[in-house]
Amino acid sequence: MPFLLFQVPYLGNGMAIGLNAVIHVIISHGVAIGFTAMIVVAEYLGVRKGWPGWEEQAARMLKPAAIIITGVGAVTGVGIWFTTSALNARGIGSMLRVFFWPWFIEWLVFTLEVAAILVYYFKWDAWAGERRKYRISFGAAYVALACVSAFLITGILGFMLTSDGWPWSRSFVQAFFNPSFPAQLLLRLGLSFTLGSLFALAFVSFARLEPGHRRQALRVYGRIMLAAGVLSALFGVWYFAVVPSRFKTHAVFSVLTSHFSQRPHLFWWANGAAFLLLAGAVVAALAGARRAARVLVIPAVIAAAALTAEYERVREFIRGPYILPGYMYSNQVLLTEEAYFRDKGLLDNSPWFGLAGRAGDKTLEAVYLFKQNCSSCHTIGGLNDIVDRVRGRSLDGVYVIIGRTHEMVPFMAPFSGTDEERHALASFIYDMATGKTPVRTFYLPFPPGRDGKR
Amino acid sequence: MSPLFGLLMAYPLPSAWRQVLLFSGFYFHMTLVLLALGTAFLAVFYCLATCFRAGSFGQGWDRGILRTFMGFKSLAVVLGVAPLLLIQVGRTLPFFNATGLFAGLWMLIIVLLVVSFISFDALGHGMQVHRLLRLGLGVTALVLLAAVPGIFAAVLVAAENPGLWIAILEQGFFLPGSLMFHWAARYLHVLGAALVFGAFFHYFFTSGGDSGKRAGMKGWLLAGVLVQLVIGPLLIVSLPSEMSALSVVFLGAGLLTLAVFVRLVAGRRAEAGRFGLKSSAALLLGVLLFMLLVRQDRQDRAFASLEASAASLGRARAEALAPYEKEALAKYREDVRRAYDNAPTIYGRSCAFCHGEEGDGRGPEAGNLAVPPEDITQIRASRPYLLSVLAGGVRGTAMPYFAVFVRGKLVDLVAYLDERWGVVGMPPPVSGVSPADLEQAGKLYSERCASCHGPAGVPTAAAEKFEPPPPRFTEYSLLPGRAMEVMSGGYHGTMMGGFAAGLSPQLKKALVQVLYDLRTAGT
Repeated sequence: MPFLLFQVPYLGNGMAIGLNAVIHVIISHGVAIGFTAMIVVAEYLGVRKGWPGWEEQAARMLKPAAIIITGVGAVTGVGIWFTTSALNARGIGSMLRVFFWPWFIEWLVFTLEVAAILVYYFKWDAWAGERRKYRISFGAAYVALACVSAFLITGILGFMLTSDGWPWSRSFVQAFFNPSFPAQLLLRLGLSFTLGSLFALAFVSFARLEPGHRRQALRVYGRIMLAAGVLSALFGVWYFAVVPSRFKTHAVFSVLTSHFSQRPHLFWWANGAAFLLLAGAVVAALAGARRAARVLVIPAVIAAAALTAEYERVREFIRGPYILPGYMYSNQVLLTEEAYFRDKGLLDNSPWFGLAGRAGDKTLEAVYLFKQNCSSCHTIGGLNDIVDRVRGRSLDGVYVIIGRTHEMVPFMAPFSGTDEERHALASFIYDMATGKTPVRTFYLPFPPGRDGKR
Repeated sequence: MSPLFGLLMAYPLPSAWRQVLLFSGFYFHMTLVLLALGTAFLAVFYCLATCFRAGSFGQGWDRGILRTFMGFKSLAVVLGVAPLLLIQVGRTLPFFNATGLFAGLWMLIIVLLVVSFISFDALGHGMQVHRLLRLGLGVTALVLLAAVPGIFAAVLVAAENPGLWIAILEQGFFLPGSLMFHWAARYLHVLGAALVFGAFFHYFFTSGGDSGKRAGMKGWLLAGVLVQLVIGPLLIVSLPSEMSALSVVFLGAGLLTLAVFVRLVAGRRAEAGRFGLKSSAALLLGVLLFMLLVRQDRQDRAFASLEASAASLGRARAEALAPYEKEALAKYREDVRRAYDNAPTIYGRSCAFCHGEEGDGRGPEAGNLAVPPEDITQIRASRPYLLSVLAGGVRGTAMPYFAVFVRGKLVDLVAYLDERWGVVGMPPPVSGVSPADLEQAGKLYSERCASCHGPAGVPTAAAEKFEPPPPRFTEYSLLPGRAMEVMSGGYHGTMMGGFAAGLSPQLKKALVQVLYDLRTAGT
């Protein structure tokens, strides 16, 4: 590996990337696309239809939206580059080669998006009278541009799960317009409008509004949420229909994890409860019932955020063990390198390990092997703790398991390294699991050596 | 180039284009960064002035200044994406390794930016709080925001000095002494420039023509320039390597432009407190342009040799990997066609390498294990017991937990094992066992077995701590032949010895029946 391997303490690398990405998705989908669309709807009803109270409501909705979009949404969006460049450099660097132009165009679109939302926000009061027509077009343009962003990113995300014939053809068209692309795009747009209308319902339920207007607003947003929610469900069915069984079969496990995998009813109950909450919020909104909406809408927002996080978790998990299917495993080892390292050794062929000049340091060797092979998903002493995973197994058992990871658990990448390296990693983990050596995170690329040096 | 290796060595656009786009993207990004940072600093200063009633013009002006922050910071972020993309493509090795060296701090930028942005925007767009709380929040947000260019400077300093990467690693998140001085000068240089840019903007756009405000901003502007003139030489002195002729030319042009700018801003014509926007803005942007050109030239030279050696190493690795390509793609093709949604696949892939394709415990990994995998064909156990073993594994052996498969898959797996080898249920009774043998075997069980396996077939508390613990005879049995084999020869790698080695075949059969009776009693 030509890059350094850092380990995020407790959370782990995958979870750190995922956490930032999920926050970004909730904001980019729910606020940037969905909630802003609801602001444009409110402005349209106020300005074009002349419905009283709607334009003022739109203005009040816009301020928090602008702050959140530009303050959290944009930063967490760029944050994906930060987390991946630090934790998955080889993966993101390679993806960037395949999808440079979609990402570059996405940057242009992103720039226009930000410019549009700034004009929309800052010119709100300045553009009065007939000029309000221009203002509304900026809001609509912003939503349209955000949808274009979703289009560009969905092609890349879809590739990571259904790369189709790309490993053989290396065709960009085949990679971008992959089998899950259209269904996922529609699903994401549907989710955006569902989340956006739900956020709008939350705003309308709690903001100080004239009672008659509030009832009307609840009904309007309730109808939009119902339509978007039903469409999302249909697109969701379509999406999961096109995802190959090889990946889909791990969907429930990805949510339950090994902690709850033997109680799968929890998955259905939790999801059922979340959908009931969303349905309850819609019913309360359609009835124009403010009190019921107030009671239900916050739990519904939490449920919607959890469902969004769940979807992203499932999508990211089931693509395992690949980050670039047919090219690179999720631990940044190339498919060809796995076989090569088995013959020639991982440590001897890792530039950084050689540069560090710590050959012969058994701890460092094992830590490096762990980081390269396991740390994209596992931690030491944190979430998905490797020590917990093997605790109780015999040393030879750990050795066998390490050598059969991919065969035994299909979403795990295979071990890369020689038999001797496999033994070294097994002993390292086994010793921690049995308490022979203390459990330590080793978050820095190279842990302190005997002389105190890193 | 091997299609299975070369992605990182591919360039989606020609080098010249990469350079031009990277530079221009960075230039626009830096301009907005300096405006945002300068705005934040000035807003906090005037907030301080408001709090302590210093200066009549300061009252409430901080809100006016801060209101512009949203635009600057949003555009700074979005314009930062292009250089981020391009540096990852064009300067892959130095950039990614520098972010790796400072990974923790690099990712902390997300938190720093979110907190400071939200705080500043809330304060600038209507959040009403007590003035001291406002000041506290503003100062906190400024400190967090000001930390960001410090981290960026550290990453870029590291990227430009690959020869010192190991030294940086050895010191954790710190630069070695010589680079630390350079970093400090570079960081302060950015802060000074932010002050100049912020003051310049607010002189024209938020002072509203107020002469007092303009005078204040002009003071900040000149102070910022003075800071740059002090730090500039320190920065040059601290450079880790000599400047190229091209860099010297750019530096000279930058200083000349700065001199003209200062003359315009502080000269006689500006004594009345006014100077023209267009000419001064062009000069200021010109100074930034030349300074960034110096930086770019130095960076290009620093990266050149590293990238050349990386490319050479990459080519060598690609050649080495070429023979493995066919195998890798064939394996991938098989993998994506195989779904672990059925018991035969799960058994074949997840179990058979130890337990064998035929379930006889003779899988290819069996020889590596001190506790041999059990011969599944000989097992007769209750369904819940088998499920518990599958879900939880067996402590002290290689048997892992298979909770990586949801319950339904394990239920199907047990059904599959039962279909192939009849593992679920009771073993057939042992024939030809006399009551006397049975009685004697019962006594033997109490004497030799019960201390571990328990009088009723449930392991004792002490035995439960063994690794592996004994099986529960109330739920688990082996067919007679295998059971007698274990009694006589023990179970390798466990506490189970060959306790029945010297017994007659009849007594062994009776002992097996005793175990079966425990099973019946347990049921």
